[in-house]
Amino acid sequence: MLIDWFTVGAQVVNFLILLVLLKIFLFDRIKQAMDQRENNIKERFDKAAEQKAAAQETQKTFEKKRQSLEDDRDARLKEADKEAKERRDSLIQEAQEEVDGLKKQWRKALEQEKASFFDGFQKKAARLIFDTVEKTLSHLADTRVQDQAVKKFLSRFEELDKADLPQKAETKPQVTTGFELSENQQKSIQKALSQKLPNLGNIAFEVRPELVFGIAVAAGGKKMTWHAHDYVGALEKQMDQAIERKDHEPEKQ
Amino acid sequence: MNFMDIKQITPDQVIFFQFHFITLNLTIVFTWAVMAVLVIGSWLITRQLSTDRQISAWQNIMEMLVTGIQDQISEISRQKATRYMPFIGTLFIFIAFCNLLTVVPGYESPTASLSTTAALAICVFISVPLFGIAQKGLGNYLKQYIQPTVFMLPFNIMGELSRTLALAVRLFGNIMSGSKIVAILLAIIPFVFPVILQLLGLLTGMIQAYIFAVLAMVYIASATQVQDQKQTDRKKNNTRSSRNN
Repeated sequence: MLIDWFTVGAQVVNFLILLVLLKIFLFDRIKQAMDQRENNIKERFDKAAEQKAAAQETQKTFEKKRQSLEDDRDARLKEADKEAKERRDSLIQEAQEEVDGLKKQWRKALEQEKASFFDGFQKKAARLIFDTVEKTLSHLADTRVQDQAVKKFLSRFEELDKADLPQKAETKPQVTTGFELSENQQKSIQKALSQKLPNLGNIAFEVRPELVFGIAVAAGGKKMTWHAHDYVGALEKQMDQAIERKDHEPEKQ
Repeated sequence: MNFMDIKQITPDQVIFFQFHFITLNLTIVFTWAVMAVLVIGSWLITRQLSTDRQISAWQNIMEMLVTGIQDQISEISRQKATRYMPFIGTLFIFIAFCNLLTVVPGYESPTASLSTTAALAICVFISVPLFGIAQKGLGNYLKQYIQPTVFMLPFNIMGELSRTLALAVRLFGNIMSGSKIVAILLAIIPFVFPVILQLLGLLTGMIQAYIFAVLAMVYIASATQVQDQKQTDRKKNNTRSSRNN
Protein backbone atom coordinates (compact mmCIF):
# COMPACT_ATOMS: atom_id res chain seq x y z
CA MET A 1 0.00 0.00 0.00
CA LEU A 2 1.35 3.41 -1.00
CA ILE A 3 -0.10 5.24 1.95
CA ASP A 4 0.83 4.66 5.57
CA TRP A 5 -1.66 6.35 7.86
CA PHE A 6 0.74 6.53 10.77
CA THR A 7 3.19 8.36 8.51
CA VAL A 8 0.38 10.61 7.38
CA GLY A 9 -0.41 11.48 10.98
CA ALA A 10 3.25 11.94 11.80
CA GLN A 11 3.74 14.19 8.78
CA VAL A 12 0.72 16.29 9.80
CA VAL A 13 2.26 16.74 13.23
CA ASN A 14 5.69 17.42 11.69
CA PHE A 15 4.17 20.00 9.40
CA LEU A 16 2.37 21.74 12.26
CA ILE A 17 5.57 21.79 14.31
CA LEU A 18 7.48 23.18 11.35
CA LEU A 19 4.76 25.76 10.83
CA VAL A 20 5.08 26.96 14.44
CA LEU A 21 8.88 26.96 14.37
CA LEU A 22 9.11 28.79 11.06
CA LYS A 23 6.55 31.30 12.25
CA ILE A 24 8.69 31.99 15.32
CA PHE A 25 12.16 31.83 13.77
CA LEU A 26 11.49 33.06 10.26
CA PHE A 27 8.29 34.84 9.32
CA ASP A 28 7.72 36.90 12.47
CA ARG A 29 11.35 37.94 12.77
CA ILE A 30 11.72 38.81 9.12
CA LYS A 31 8.43 40.71 9.18
CA GLN A 32 9.48 42.54 12.33
CA ALA A 33 12.86 43.48 10.86
CA MET A 34 11.24 44.67 7.64
CA ASP A 35 8.66 46.74 9.55
CA GLN A 36 11.39 48.18 11.74
CA ARG A 37 13.48 49.10 8.72
CA GLU A 38 10.43 50.57 7.00
CA ASN A 39 9.77 52.68 10.09
CA ASN A 40 13.42 53.75 10.17
CA ILE A 41 13.26 54.74 6.51
CA LYS A 42 9.96 56.54 7.13
CA GLU A 43 11.55 58.38 10.05
CA ARG A 44 14.50 59.29 7.86
CA PHE A 45 12.14 60.52 5.15
CA ASP A 46 10.16 62.52 7.72
CA LYS A 47 13.39 63.95 9.13
CA ALA A 48 14.63 64.73 5.62
CA ALA A 49 11.30 66.41 4.84
CA GLU A 50 11.58 68.47 8.04
CA GLN A 51 15.16 69.42 7.20
CA LYS A 52 14.11 70.27 3.66
CA ALA A 53 11.32 72.48 4.98
CA ALA A 54 13.77 74.14 7.40
CA ALA A 55 16.29 74.59 4.60
CA GLN A 56 13.60 76.13 2.38
CA GLU A 57 12.63 78.46 5.24
CA THR A 58 16.28 79.44 5.69
CA GLN A 59 16.61 79.90 1.96
CA LYS A 60 13.58 82.20 1.97
CA THR A 61 15.07 84.19 4.86
CA PHE A 62 18.40 84.54 3.09
CA GLU A 63 16.62 85.40 -0.13
CA LYS A 64 14.77 88.19 1.66
CA LYS A 65 18.02 89.39 3.23
CA ARG A 66 19.78 89.27 -0.11
CA GLN A 67 16.92 91.19 -1.73
CA SER A 68 17.06 93.75 1.06
CA LEU A 69 20.82 94.11 0.66
CA GLU A 70 20.46 94.47 -3.08
CA ASP A 71 17.80 97.15 -2.63
CA ASP A 72 20.04 98.91 -0.11
CA ARG A 73 22.99 98.66 -2.48
CA ASP A 74 20.92 100.03 -5.36
CA ALA A 75 19.70 102.90 -3.22
CA ARG A 76 23.25 103.66 -2.05
CA LEU A 77 24.56 103.46 -5.61
CA LYS A 78 21.80 105.79 -6.77
CA GLU A 79 22.58 108.17 -3.94
CA ALA A 80 26.32 108.00 -4.64
CA ASP A 81 25.66 108.52 -8.31
CA LYS A 82 23.53 111.55 -7.53
CA GLU A 83 26.16 112.91 -5.15
CA ALA A 84 28.90 112.30 -7.71
CA LYS A 85 26.85 114.07 -10.36
CA GLU A 86 26.21 117.00 -8.07
CA ARG A 87 29.86 117.08 -7.07
CA ARG A 88 30.92 116.93 -10.72
CA ASP A 89 28.52 119.73 -11.64
CA SER A 90 29.79 121.72 -8.69
CA LEU A 91 33.42 121.12 -9.67
CA ILE A 92 32.67 121.97 -13.28
CA GLN A 93 30.90 125.12 -12.09
CA GLU A 94 33.84 126.01 -9.86
CA ALA A 95 36.31 125.27 -12.63
CA GLN A 96 34.22 127.28 -15.07
CA GLU A 97 34.07 130.18 -12.62
CA GLU A 98 37.81 129.89 -11.99
CA VAL A 99 38.50 129.76 -15.71
CA ASP A 100 36.19 132.73 -16.27
CA GLY A 101 37.94 134.60 -13.45
CA LEU A 102 41.37 133.75 -14.84
CA LYS A 103 40.17 134.64 -18.31
CA LYS A 104 38.85 137.94 -17.02
CA GLN A 105 42.13 138.59 -15.17
CA TRP A 106 44.11 137.58 -18.21
CA ARG A 107 41.99 139.79 -20.45
CA LYS A 108 42.36 142.66 -18.00
CA ALA A 109 46.12 142.10 -17.83
CA LEU A 110 46.22 141.84 -21.60
CA GLU A 111 44.19 144.98 -21.99
CA GLN A 112 46.46 146.74 -19.53
CA GLU A 113 49.52 145.45 -21.28
CA LYS A 114 48.03 146.41 -24.59
CA ALA A 115 47.13 149.85 -23.29
CA SER A 116 50.57 150.22 -21.79
CA PHE A 117 52.12 148.99 -25.01
CA PHE A 118 50.07 151.30 -27.18
CA ASP A 119 50.70 154.18 -24.83
CA GLY A 120 54.42 153.62 -25.11
CA PHE A 121 54.05 152.84 -28.76
CA GLN A 122 52.12 156.05 -29.35
CA LYS A 123 54.82 158.11 -27.66
CA LYS A 124 57.69 156.30 -29.28
CA ALA A 125 56.01 156.24 -32.68
CA ALA A 126 55.17 159.89 -32.44
CA ARG A 127 58.67 160.69 -31.35
CA LEU A 128 60.12 158.54 -34.11
CA ILE A 129 57.86 160.09 -36.73
CA PHE A 130 58.71 163.52 -35.39
CA ASP A 131 62.46 162.80 -35.43
CA THR A 132 62.23 161.29 -38.91
CA VAL A 133 60.14 164.13 -40.26
CA GLU A 134 62.39 166.68 -38.58
CA LYS A 135 65.49 165.04 -39.95
CA THR A 136 63.95 164.71 -43.41
CA LEU A 137 62.73 168.29 -43.51
CA SER A 138 66.04 169.52 -42.16
CA HIS A 139 68.03 167.63 -44.77
CA LEU A 140 65.77 167.98 -47.74
CA ALA A 141 63.85 171.27 -47.21
CA ASP A 142 66.20 173.05 -44.86
CA THR A 143 63.38 173.79 -42.49
CA ARG A 144 62.32 172.68 -38.97
CA VAL A 145 59.25 170.72 -38.30
CA GLN A 146 58.51 172.84 -35.20
CA ASP A 147 58.34 175.93 -37.37
CA GLN A 148 56.05 174.17 -39.82
CA ALA A 149 53.87 172.92 -36.98
CA VAL A 150 53.51 176.43 -35.48
CA LYS A 151 52.84 177.83 -38.95
CA LYS A 152 50.21 175.22 -39.63
CA PHE A 153 48.67 175.73 -36.18
CA LEU A 154 48.40 179.45 -36.76
CA SER A 155 46.86 179.00 -40.21
CA ARG A 156 44.32 176.57 -38.86
CA PHE A 157 43.55 178.83 -35.95
CA GLU A 158 42.92 181.60 -38.44
CA GLU A 159 40.44 179.41 -40.30
CA LEU A 160 38.40 178.61 -37.17
CA ASP A 161 34.80 179.86 -37.08
CA LYS A 162 33.69 182.23 -34.38
CA ALA A 163 31.42 179.51 -32.93
CA ASP A 164 34.39 177.24 -32.42
CA LEU A 165 36.29 179.87 -30.45
CA PRO A 166 35.84 180.41 -26.69
CA GLN A 167 33.23 183.08 -25.96
CA LYS A 168 34.88 184.58 -22.97
CA ALA A 169 38.53 185.08 -22.68
CA GLU A 170 40.51 183.24 -20.10
CA THR A 171 42.28 185.43 -17.64
CA LYS A 172 45.36 183.44 -18.29
CA PRO A 173 45.19 181.22 -21.39
CA GLN A 174 47.67 178.40 -21.72
CA VAL A 175 49.51 177.10 -24.77
CA THR A 176 51.14 173.71 -24.38
CA THR A 177 53.66 172.37 -26.90
CA GLY A 178 55.73 169.27 -27.21
CA PHE A 179 58.84 171.25 -28.05
CA GLU A 180 60.45 174.45 -26.94
CA LEU A 181 58.98 177.52 -28.71
CA SER A 182 61.24 180.28 -29.81
CA GLU A 183 60.50 183.85 -28.82
CA ASN A 184 59.27 184.72 -32.31
CA GLN A 185 57.01 181.76 -32.33
CA GLN A 186 55.57 182.72 -28.94
CA LYS A 187 54.96 186.20 -30.23
CA SER A 188 53.32 184.93 -33.40
CA ILE A 189 51.01 182.74 -31.32
CA GLN A 190 50.28 185.62 -28.90
CA LYS A 191 49.45 187.85 -31.84
CA ALA A 192 47.25 185.32 -33.61
CA LEU A 193 45.27 184.48 -30.47
CA SER A 194 44.85 188.14 -29.53
CA GLN A 195 43.36 188.94 -32.94
CA LYS A 196 40.70 186.26 -32.55
CA LEU A 197 40.19 186.68 -28.84
CA PRO A 198 40.39 190.41 -28.07
CA ASN A 199 40.22 190.22 -24.27
CA LEU A 200 42.92 187.67 -24.06
CA GLY A 201 45.45 188.17 -21.32
CA ASN A 202 49.07 187.09 -21.27
CA ILE A 203 49.54 183.53 -22.52
CA ALA A 204 51.34 181.02 -20.37
CA PHE A 205 53.57 178.71 -22.43
CA GLU A 206 54.33 175.25 -21.23
CA VAL A 207 56.43 172.45 -22.74
CA ARG A 208 55.20 168.88 -22.45
CA PRO A 209 57.38 166.44 -24.37
CA GLU A 210 54.61 163.80 -24.62
CA LEU A 211 52.79 166.08 -27.08
CA VAL A 212 55.86 165.63 -29.39
CA PHE A 213 55.18 168.25 -32.05
CA GLY A 214 51.60 168.96 -31.10
CA ILE A 215 50.21 172.25 -29.87
CA ALA A 216 47.31 172.61 -27.41
CA VAL A 217 45.49 175.84 -26.52
CA ALA A 218 43.28 176.05 -23.42
CA ALA A 219 41.24 179.26 -23.13
CA GLY A 220 37.74 180.26 -22.03
CA GLY A 221 36.84 176.77 -20.93
CA LYS A 222 37.69 175.32 -24.37
CA LYS A 223 40.71 173.36 -25.47
CA MET A 224 42.01 173.14 -29.02
CA THR A 225 44.68 170.61 -29.85
CA TRP A 226 46.76 169.93 -32.95
CA HIS A 227 49.19 167.17 -32.52
CA ALA A 228 50.56 163.98 -34.20
CA HIS A 229 48.60 161.66 -31.91
CA ASP A 230 45.72 161.58 -34.38
CA TYR A 231 47.98 160.12 -37.04
CA VAL A 232 49.61 157.75 -34.62
CA GLY A 233 46.13 156.84 -33.35
CA ALA A 234 45.16 155.61 -36.85
CA LEU A 235 48.29 153.47 -36.95
CA GLU A 236 47.51 152.21 -33.47
CA LYS A 237 43.97 151.34 -34.53
CA GLN A 238 45.23 149.32 -37.51
CA MET A 239 47.70 147.45 -35.32
CA ASP A 240 44.97 146.72 -32.78
CA GLN A 241 42.74 145.31 -35.51
CA ALA A 242 45.65 143.18 -36.76
CA ILE A 243 46.22 141.79 -33.26
CA GLU A 244 42.50 141.11 -32.79
CA ARG A 245 42.43 139.18 -36.09
CA LYS A 246 45.44 137.19 -35.00
CA ASP A 247 43.72 136.33 -31.70
CA HIS A 248 40.59 135.06 -33.41
CA GLU A 249 42.42 132.96 -35.99
CA PRO A 250 42.32 129.16 -35.16
CA GLU A 251 45.61 127.72 -34.03
CA LYS A 252 47.41 125.77 -36.74
CA GLN A 253 48.67 122.37 -35.73
CA MET B 1 24.66 5.53 -0.52
CA ASN B 2 21.09 4.77 -1.47
CA PHE B 3 18.45 3.93 1.11
CA MET B 4 15.90 2.93 -1.47
CA ASP B 5 15.83 0.03 -3.90
CA ILE B 6 14.71 0.80 -7.43
CA LYS B 7 11.70 -1.43 -6.90
CA GLN B 8 10.54 0.56 -3.88
CA ILE B 9 8.11 3.29 -4.96
CA THR B 10 7.97 5.47 -1.85
CA PRO B 11 10.39 6.15 0.99
CA ASP B 12 7.68 4.88 3.36
CA GLN B 13 8.78 1.41 2.40
CA VAL B 14 12.23 1.93 3.93
CA ILE B 15 11.59 1.26 7.59
CA PHE B 16 14.22 1.77 10.26
CA PHE B 17 12.14 0.94 13.30
CA GLN B 18 8.70 -0.56 13.89
CA PHE B 19 6.66 -1.12 17.01
CA HIS B 20 3.09 -2.24 16.33
CA PHE B 21 1.67 0.47 14.05
CA ILE B 22 4.42 2.94 14.96
CA THR B 23 6.99 2.96 12.23
CA LEU B 24 10.07 5.11 11.74
CA ASN B 25 10.54 5.16 8.00
CA LEU B 26 12.74 7.08 5.54
CA THR B 27 10.00 9.65 4.89
CA ILE B 28 9.82 10.69 8.53
CA VAL B 29 13.58 10.69 8.95
CA PHE B 30 14.19 12.90 5.92
CA THR B 31 11.27 15.11 6.96
CA TRP B 32 12.95 15.65 10.30
CA ALA B 33 16.21 16.35 8.50
CA VAL B 34 14.56 18.94 6.28
CA MET B 35 12.78 20.43 9.30
CA ALA B 36 16.06 20.62 11.18
CA VAL B 37 17.81 22.31 8.26
CA LEU B 38 14.99 24.80 7.84
CA VAL B 39 14.61 25.65 11.51
CA ILE B 40 18.32 25.86 12.25
CA GLY B 41 18.92 27.81 9.06
CA SER B 42 16.11 30.22 9.92
CA TRP B 43 17.42 30.64 13.43
CA LEU B 44 20.96 31.27 12.20
CA ILE B 45 19.83 33.80 9.62
CA THR B 46 17.31 35.63 11.80
CA ARG B 47 19.24 35.73 15.09
CA GLN B 48 21.05 38.91 14.05
CA LEU B 49 18.74 40.71 11.70
CA SER B 50 19.73 44.19 10.69
CA THR B 51 17.23 47.03 10.63
CA ASP B 52 19.67 49.38 8.90
CA ARG B 53 19.96 49.93 5.19
CA GLN B 54 22.91 47.48 5.01
CA ILE B 55 21.75 43.87 5.36
CA SER B 56 23.41 40.51 4.91
CA ALA B 57 22.97 38.45 1.74
CA TRP B 58 21.09 35.72 3.62
CA GLN B 59 18.74 38.24 5.20
CA ASN B 60 18.21 39.73 1.77
CA ILE B 61 17.32 36.31 0.31
CA MET B 62 14.94 35.58 3.18
CA GLU B 63 13.28 38.96 2.85
CA MET B 64 12.88 38.44 -0.89
CA LEU B 65 11.33 35.02 -0.23
CA VAL B 66 8.94 36.29 2.43
CA THR B 67 8.00 39.38 0.38
CA GLY B 68 7.44 37.20 -2.71
CA ILE B 69 5.12 34.84 -0.84
CA GLN B 70 3.34 37.80 0.74
CA ASP B 71 2.74 39.40 -2.67
CA GLN B 72 1.44 36.14 -4.13
CA ILE B 73 -0.99 35.70 -1.22
CA SER B 74 -2.19 39.30 -1.53
CA GLU B 75 -2.69 38.94 -5.29
CA ILE B 76 -4.68 35.71 -4.97
CA SER B 77 -6.74 36.49 -1.89
CA ARG B 78 -7.14 40.27 -2.28
CA GLN B 79 -6.75 40.31 1.48
CA LYS B 80 -4.00 41.07 3.95
CA ALA B 81 -1.36 38.36 3.72
CA THR B 82 -0.43 38.39 7.42
CA ARG B 83 -3.01 35.81 8.48
CA TYR B 84 -2.18 33.22 5.80
CA MET B 85 1.54 33.90 5.60
CA PRO B 86 2.82 31.26 8.07
CA PHE B 87 0.65 28.46 6.67
CA ILE B 88 1.15 29.11 2.96
CA GLY B 89 4.78 30.11 3.49
CA THR B 90 5.58 26.95 5.42
CA LEU B 91 3.86 24.82 2.78
CA PHE B 92 5.87 26.40 -0.04
CA ILE B 93 9.21 26.44 1.77
CA PHE B 94 8.84 22.87 3.04
CA ILE B 95 7.84 21.39 -0.32
CA ALA B 96 10.40 23.49 -2.24
CA PHE B 97 13.20 22.56 0.14
CA CYS B 98 12.22 18.86 0.12
CA ASN B 99 12.41 18.93 -3.69
CA LEU B 100 15.60 21.02 -3.90
CA LEU B 101 17.53 18.63 -1.65
CA THR B 102 17.16 15.87 -4.25
CA VAL B 103 20.54 17.06 -5.60
CA VAL B 104 22.09 15.57 -2.44
CA PRO B 105 23.19 11.99 -3.17
CA GLY B 106 21.23 9.38 -1.21
CA TYR B 107 18.48 11.83 -0.31
CA GLU B 108 14.91 10.84 -0.98
CA SER B 109 12.37 13.63 -1.01
CA PRO B 110 9.57 13.16 1.57
CA THR B 111 7.22 14.60 -1.07
CA ALA B 112 7.87 11.44 -3.10
CA SER B 113 5.77 9.71 -0.44
CA LEU B 114 2.02 9.76 -0.82
CA SER B 115 1.77 9.82 2.98
CA THR B 116 3.53 13.18 3.10
CA THR B 117 1.56 14.75 0.23
CA ALA B 118 -1.63 13.36 1.72
CA ALA B 119 -0.70 14.84 5.10
CA LEU B 120 -0.09 18.22 3.49
CA ALA B 121 -3.36 17.96 1.52
CA ILE B 122 -5.18 17.07 4.71
CA CYS B 123 -3.66 20.14 6.38
CA VAL B 124 -5.02 22.23 3.51
CA PHE B 125 -8.35 20.40 3.68
CA ILE B 126 -8.64 21.23 7.39
CA SER B 127 -7.26 24.78 7.14
CA VAL B 128 -9.80 25.86 4.49
CA PRO B 129 -12.87 25.51 6.76
CA LEU B 130 -10.88 26.83 9.72
CA PHE B 131 -9.93 30.02 7.89
CA GLY B 132 -13.43 30.22 6.41
CA ILE B 133 -15.18 29.85 9.77
CA ALA B 134 -12.73 32.27 11.41
CA GLN B 135 -13.46 34.77 8.67
CA LYS B 136 -17.26 34.57 8.44
CA GLY B 137 -18.57 32.27 11.12
CA LEU B 138 -19.72 28.64 11.09
CA GLY B 139 -23.23 29.22 9.70
CA ASN B 140 -22.15 31.39 6.87
CA TYR B 141 -19.32 29.03 6.02
CA LEU B 142 -21.58 25.99 5.93
CA LYS B 143 -24.11 27.89 3.83
CA GLN B 144 -21.71 27.98 0.93
CA TYR B 145 -22.07 24.18 0.55
CA ILE B 146 -25.74 24.63 -0.33
CA GLN B 147 -25.07 27.44 -2.83
CA PRO B 148 -26.64 28.10 -5.24
CA THR B 149 -29.17 25.34 -4.25
CA VAL B 150 -29.25 22.65 -1.62
CA PHE B 151 -28.90 20.05 -4.35
CA MET B 152 -25.33 21.19 -4.83
CA LEU B 153 -24.35 19.96 -1.33
CA PRO B 154 -23.05 16.53 -2.39
CA PHE B 155 -21.26 17.99 -5.37
CA ASN B 156 -19.61 20.65 -3.20
CA ILE B 157 -18.49 18.01 -0.68
CA MET B 158 -17.19 15.83 -3.48
CA GLY B 159 -15.40 18.82 -4.91
CA GLU B 160 -13.71 19.47 -1.60
CA LEU B 161 -12.57 15.88 -1.32
CA SER B 162 -11.51 15.47 -4.91
CA ARG B 163 -9.41 18.62 -4.93
CA THR B 164 -7.69 17.46 -1.74
CA LEU B 165 -7.00 14.14 -3.35
CA ALA B 166 -5.81 15.89 -6.48
CA LEU B 167 -3.42 18.03 -4.44
CA ALA B 168 -1.90 14.96 -2.81
CA VAL B 169 -1.67 12.82 -5.89
CA ARG B 170 -0.38 15.60 -8.19
CA LEU B 171 2.58 16.38 -5.96
CA PHE B 172 3.29 12.73 -5.18
CA GLY B 173 3.03 11.65 -8.83
CA ASN B 174 5.33 14.39 -10.13
CA ILE B 175 8.06 14.00 -7.55
CA MET B 176 7.94 10.23 -7.34
CA SER B 177 7.94 9.82 -11.14
CA GLY B 178 10.84 12.25 -11.46
CA SER B 179 12.97 10.36 -8.93
CA LYS B 180 12.04 7.00 -10.45
CA ILE B 181 12.94 8.14 -13.97
CA VAL B 182 16.32 9.39 -12.74
CA ALA B 183 16.91 6.09 -10.89
CA ILE B 184 15.99 4.04 -13.97
CA LEU B 185 18.15 6.18 -16.26
CA LEU B 186 21.06 5.90 -13.83
CA ALA B 187 20.79 2.12 -14.18
CA ILE B 188 20.51 2.22 -17.98
CA ILE B 189 22.57 5.27 -19.08
CA PRO B 190 24.57 6.50 -16.12
CA PHE B 191 26.03 9.53 -17.96
CA VAL B 192 24.62 12.99 -18.85
CA PHE B 193 20.93 12.09 -19.10
CA PRO B 194 20.38 11.55 -15.37
CA VAL B 195 21.97 14.94 -14.70
CA ILE B 196 19.69 16.66 -17.19
CA LEU B 197 16.67 14.91 -15.76
CA GLN B 198 17.84 15.76 -12.26
CA LEU B 199 17.91 19.45 -13.26
CA LEU B 200 14.50 19.04 -14.84
CA GLY B 201 13.37 17.39 -11.61
CA LEU B 202 14.56 20.45 -9.65
CA LEU B 203 12.53 22.71 -11.92
CA THR B 204 9.51 20.43 -11.62
CA GLY B 205 9.94 20.32 -7.86
CA MET B 206 9.93 24.13 -7.64
CA ILE B 207 6.93 24.40 -9.92
CA GLN B 208 5.06 21.77 -7.90
CA ALA B 209 5.81 23.61 -4.66
CA TYR B 210 4.50 26.80 -6.22
CA ILE B 211 1.39 25.05 -7.59
CA PHE B 212 0.64 23.37 -4.26
CA ALA B 213 0.98 26.64 -2.32
CA VAL B 214 -1.01 28.67 -4.86
CA LEU B 215 -3.82 26.11 -5.00
CA ALA B 216 -3.96 25.97 -1.22
CA MET B 217 -4.26 29.77 -1.17
CA VAL B 218 -6.92 29.70 -3.88
CA TYR B 219 -8.98 27.22 -1.83
CA ILE B 220 -8.61 29.28 1.31
CA ALA B 221 -9.38 32.50 -0.57
CA SER B 222 -12.51 30.95 -2.12
CA ALA B 223 -13.68 29.98 1.37
CA THR B 224 -13.06 33.43 2.83
CA GLN B 225 -14.14 35.66 -0.07
CA VAL B 226 -17.75 34.44 -0.34
CA GLN B 227 -18.58 36.37 2.76
CA ASP B 228 -16.84 39.44 1.38
CA GLN B 229 -18.88 39.21 -1.82
CA LYS B 230 -22.07 38.85 0.17
CA GLN B 231 -21.11 41.76 2.38
CA THR B 232 -20.43 43.86 -0.72
CA ASP B 233 -23.82 42.89 -2.18
CA ARG B 234 -25.52 43.72 1.11
CA LYS B 235 -23.80 47.09 1.25
CA LYS B 236 -24.89 47.81 -2.33
CA ASN B 237 -28.49 46.89 -1.48
CA ASN B 238 -28.41 49.10 1.62
CA THR B 239 -27.08 52.03 -0.44
CA ARG B 240 -29.78 51.58 -3.09
CA SER B 241 -32.59 51.36 -0.49
CA SER B 242 -31.34 54.48 1.31
CA ARG B 243 -31.28 56.36 -2.05
CA ASN B 244 -34.85 55.21 -2.81
CA ASN B 245 -35.99 56.36 0.64
